[in-house]
Amino acid sequence: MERKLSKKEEEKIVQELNKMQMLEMVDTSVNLTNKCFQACATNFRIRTLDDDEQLCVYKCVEKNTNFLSAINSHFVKLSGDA
Amino acid sequence: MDDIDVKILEMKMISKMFTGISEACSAKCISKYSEGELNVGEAVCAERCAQKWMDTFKNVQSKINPQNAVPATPAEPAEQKKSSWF
Repeated sequence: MERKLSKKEEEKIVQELNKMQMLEMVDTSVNLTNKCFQACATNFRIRTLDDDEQLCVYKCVEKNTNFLSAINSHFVKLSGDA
Repeated sequence: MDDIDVKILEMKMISKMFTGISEACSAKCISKYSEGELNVGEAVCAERCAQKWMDTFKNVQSKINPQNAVPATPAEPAEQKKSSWF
């Protein structure tokens, strides 16, 4: 892209990015819920999460966050090399 | 973001959640496809599974972004809805 973006175009980009981000957030939370639910929900005799499951979900989210940041730092390194 | 965008986003979210629940719960609750009819265990499992999934979702969301967490629904109405056989 050669020319400088106009103010209006910049605004549009920001708007689109916001929309993308919100969609992305919904997506990640649904996907993560699925992942952690598959891993953690084992007791179907009660309808709420029991203590073990709750703890498992907590750890699952935490681990996922840490894993993503690890991946991210590697990705940054790799794409810096390219 | 106008109102239409928000509404559409909301609907997308609901449909994604439904897809998630149906995938997760059919994996958890249906062991074999030898019968067309849903047996009692599977039906009960489906109901509990859906509730559990929503629980998980709330937990995950409040952990991911604590600032706009969905406030936990008060336990009372849920308690009343429970059928007598449990």
